[in-house]
Amino acid sequence: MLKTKSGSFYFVILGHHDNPAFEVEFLPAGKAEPKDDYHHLNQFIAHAALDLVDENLWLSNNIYLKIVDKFNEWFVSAFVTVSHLRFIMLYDIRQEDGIKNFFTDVYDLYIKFAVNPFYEPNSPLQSSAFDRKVRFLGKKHLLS
Amino acid sequence: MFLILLVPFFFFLFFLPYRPVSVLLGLKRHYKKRCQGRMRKHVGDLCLQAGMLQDSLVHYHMSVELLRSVNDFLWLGAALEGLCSASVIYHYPGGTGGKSRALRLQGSSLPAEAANRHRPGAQEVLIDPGALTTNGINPDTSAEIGRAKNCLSPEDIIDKYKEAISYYSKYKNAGVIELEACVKAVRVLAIQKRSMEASEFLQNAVYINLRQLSEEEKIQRYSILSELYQLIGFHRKSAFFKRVAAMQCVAPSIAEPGWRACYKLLLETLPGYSLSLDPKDFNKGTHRGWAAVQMRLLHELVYASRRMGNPALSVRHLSFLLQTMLDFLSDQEKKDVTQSLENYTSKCPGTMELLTLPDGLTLPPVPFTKLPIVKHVKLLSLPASLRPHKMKSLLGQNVSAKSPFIYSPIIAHNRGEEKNKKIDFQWVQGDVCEVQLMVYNPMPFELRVENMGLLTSGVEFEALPAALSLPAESGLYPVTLVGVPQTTGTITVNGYRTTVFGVFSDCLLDNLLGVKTSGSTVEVIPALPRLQISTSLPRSAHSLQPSSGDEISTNVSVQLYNGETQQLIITLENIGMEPLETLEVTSKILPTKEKLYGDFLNWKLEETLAQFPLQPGKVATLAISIKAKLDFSCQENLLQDLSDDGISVSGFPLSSPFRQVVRPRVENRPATAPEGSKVGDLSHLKTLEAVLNFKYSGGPGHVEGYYRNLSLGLHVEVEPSVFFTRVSTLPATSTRQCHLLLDVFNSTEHELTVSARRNEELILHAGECQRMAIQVDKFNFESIPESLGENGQFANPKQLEEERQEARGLEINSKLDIHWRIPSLKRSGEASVEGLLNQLVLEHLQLAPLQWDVLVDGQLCDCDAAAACPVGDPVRLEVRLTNRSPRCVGPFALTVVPFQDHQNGVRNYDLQDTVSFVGSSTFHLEAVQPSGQSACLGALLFLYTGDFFLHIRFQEGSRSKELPPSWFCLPSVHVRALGAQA
Repeated sequence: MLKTKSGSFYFVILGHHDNPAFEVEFLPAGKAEPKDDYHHLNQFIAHAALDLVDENLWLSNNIYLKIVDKFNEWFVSAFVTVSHLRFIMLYDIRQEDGIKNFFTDVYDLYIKFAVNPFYEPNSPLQSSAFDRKVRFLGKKHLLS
Repeated sequence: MFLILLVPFFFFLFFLPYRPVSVLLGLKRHYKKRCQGRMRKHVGDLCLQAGMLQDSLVHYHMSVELLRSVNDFLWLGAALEGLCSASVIYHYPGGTGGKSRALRLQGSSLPAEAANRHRPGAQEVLIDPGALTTNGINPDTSAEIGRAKNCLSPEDIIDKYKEAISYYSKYKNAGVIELEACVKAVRVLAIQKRSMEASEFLQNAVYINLRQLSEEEKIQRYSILSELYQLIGFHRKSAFFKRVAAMQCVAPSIAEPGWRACYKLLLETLPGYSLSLDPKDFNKGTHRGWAAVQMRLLHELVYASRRMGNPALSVRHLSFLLQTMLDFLSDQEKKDVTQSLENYTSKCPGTMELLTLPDGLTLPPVPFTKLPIVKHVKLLSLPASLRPHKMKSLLGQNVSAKSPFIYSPIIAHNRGEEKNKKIDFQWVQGDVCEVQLMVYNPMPFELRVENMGLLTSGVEFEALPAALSLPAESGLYPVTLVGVPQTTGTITVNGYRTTVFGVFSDCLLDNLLGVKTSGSTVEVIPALPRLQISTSLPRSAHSLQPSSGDEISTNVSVQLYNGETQQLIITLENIGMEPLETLEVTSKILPTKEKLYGDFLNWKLEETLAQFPLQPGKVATLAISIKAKLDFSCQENLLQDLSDDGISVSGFPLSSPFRQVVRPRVENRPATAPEGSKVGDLSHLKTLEAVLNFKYSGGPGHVEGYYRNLSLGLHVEVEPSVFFTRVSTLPATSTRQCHLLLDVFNSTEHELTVSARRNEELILHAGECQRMAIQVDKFNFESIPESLGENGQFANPKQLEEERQEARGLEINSKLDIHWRIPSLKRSGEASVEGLLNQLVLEHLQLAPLQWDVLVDGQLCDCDAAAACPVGDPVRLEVRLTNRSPRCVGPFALTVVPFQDHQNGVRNYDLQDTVSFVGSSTFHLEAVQPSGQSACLGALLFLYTGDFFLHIRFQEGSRSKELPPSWFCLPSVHVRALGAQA
């Protein structure tokens, strides 16, 4: 019953210089597009969480770091790839499994795109196919 | 440490009146324990304040024991915290936190305590622990003194802090002390370098609910959080909370927003977001940090500085945002940012000065190196006509300066010079010099750049600023910045200056990323005059072939008929500021496959130079005559005609008596259809191109040894005028002369007259071909090759022969002096046969080396004119031989055969009765040495009147076979025997 109430998610892939390579937001159906400030808040929280991600990285054997930080209603989960790309997820309703699956699937997807010789590591991912697929994964794992 | 020490005490004082209601009363023992526990805690605090560390540890331990048993959580927490504090003092005598922080935090609440805190010699002013026994405290504590084991281990400290915090958290009112405990624990953890655990404490601290905090306290709380994160090395977290604090300063709930504080706090967050305010840091490789976040911060800085009432700061930050974040701005954002920048700069223009904030922070200037983006900087040499050249001195200056050797395979590399990026051309003082920039407008709208000028050093330079407007997202766009060097020396182009959106920028090339430059240092030489050339001929769009090497400033073109001469008047004007002192004119005819006869260009410079020095603004003229004289032959046709013509020159018996029959004739040959097609082939234009170089100099530049070179390209289109389609010779009546037959073809579309030797005029209609015969004296070429031989001594024989032939052609041509004229166009010119004289023709035109002279009655008989002699008288006949050949010839035997020509093809040789010889009819000539002469005499007696011819014949065998037959060409003698004058 509670499953019907799904929260909003903000997903970002961060490169080695704390530069975002990919950003996407998942909002539950029917929720209005929030105003500009909201995006910035997400970015600021995600940025601040990086310190914790970088520390947690050394304490865990897993590349999925679970919840690393929280601010107000937001939880921050992270996933660090072998190439030290950081997947950060901001969300307001706990959904550990979905996020974990989402991270794993996005990682698979990312690897497929990263092997493209024309993709320069650390640069923004501008592929619309990637975006579409990530959105699909988001719907599948997070918003369902 | 001060904090650690005092808060429990403060807490103790504070909470004493408000005893927790949950404490169970009734049980006396329980109550006693609680009192004892609290007392111990209190004593521990006092001991700690007094610097009795060991005592305090003991008391705290006991207090913890007692309070734990009675579940007095708040006091238990306090006792644990005390224990931790004492242990921390023991473990970290240097203190835990930033000294200034502790002072500031506590200074306000308990200033009196400040003096007492942290005394190194506290042990000396000990209060005897035994003195406390009167208060019912177990005296056995003294036994514990000095035992370090009471002290907690570093790990235990954290555990105990955790425990204490968990006890505090049971009380809603204890938020403050809970927070304090967290802060203290974090400081300890920071020392222990356990940042993860520290962050857990801080995480907890964030969520401690403090009631009714004032705005200032809120700001302080976030500031401290930020500071603690900084302490454990979490810069990004620290920046986050600092920004929250900054936002808190200007929260809508505050009546008087602290924009200044907000701005200051925001500035402090920048390092955490990998942002520096020096635009130079953004030139290094990839962008660091989260651009969207950085932009947001910069926008906040702009807004805060505006609200602070410091528009210069706003402009600086906004310029910085535009300059460094350009790649991340969307098109709409670019528009918005520039719009607001223009709004700000309308009140306060952006400068290149360093902005200094009250707290000493300086904001470096932000030059707009990306508005526009400069991709390529190239110093341009002066245009070819203005480029200075160094006069060549006898000793190469470069060579002598660099190495003592005339030649060395090792090139003297001068590293300094390479580094200098000096360019190998010069600029001239007082002349407009150009620098070309390739610029690119990255904006989605038209970019207006004003006052774009050069920044230079080394030489006084008057930069002439340009304003440009670059279309949206333009491709690479060339911009030429100009200026005039006012002095001489070495000038370095350091960069350029722009004004964009009201912001003045000085962009230095050294700081530009990805700019290609081929050097930025150039020498400025002293001023030189400037020469402007105008000609009487129309300018031509036709440019000479690039292979010519010289860069031509002006091209003129003229159309001439082959053989025509035209005057070219060149007007020289000094348009510079210096007098024109020297001028030198040279010409270079560009290689062409056409053979050119005679001098193409001819001029006399003396008259022009007489007007020198030419002051600025003055004009001089120079006349140049252009003579286009190409080949007049059309060789393919020539060969063809010769072969199919009956008259074969080679087979013609030169001493033939038929010579009179073949009169020079004019043969009308109408232009038939096949002939017409040939004409088409012939009439194509031929071009001649030449470059006239004017080397001139004057003024101070001349003193320094520089000159300028102005080139005038001359393009001459040569239309064919006449052609000699065929050439042949016919012997004339005299052996010293011959007839040259020329088939002249008029290839123009106009009526044309041809004259030779200024007398015979031949009218040719367009496309008409006629034969003209010119009687010419034979040539004695022998004298010419000798003079040429000296020059051509080392030339190969073929070349020598060519030269010889050329000289012959020249001589023949000068004798012939053929001219053509087109009356309708009033144009005239020469025609030349030089190109079409072949070996055979030449041979026929040449005088034989053996010169035979026949004298009748002492008169030389050579032409048609008959020698008159009286009948009945003996007529003296002399045959004279002059040997001009280099060998000895002879002896020869000659027989004189008289005959009569009946003019009908019948010749009567049977004249024994009519003519009688006095003596023998056979002459004998002795051998003649080179340049020698020999003569033999005989006499004839004419018995009747009549016309007689004498045929002098060599006797069989007497003629040397090895000598060419043309050498034995004796003149025929025509004698008219007349009746004796009565």
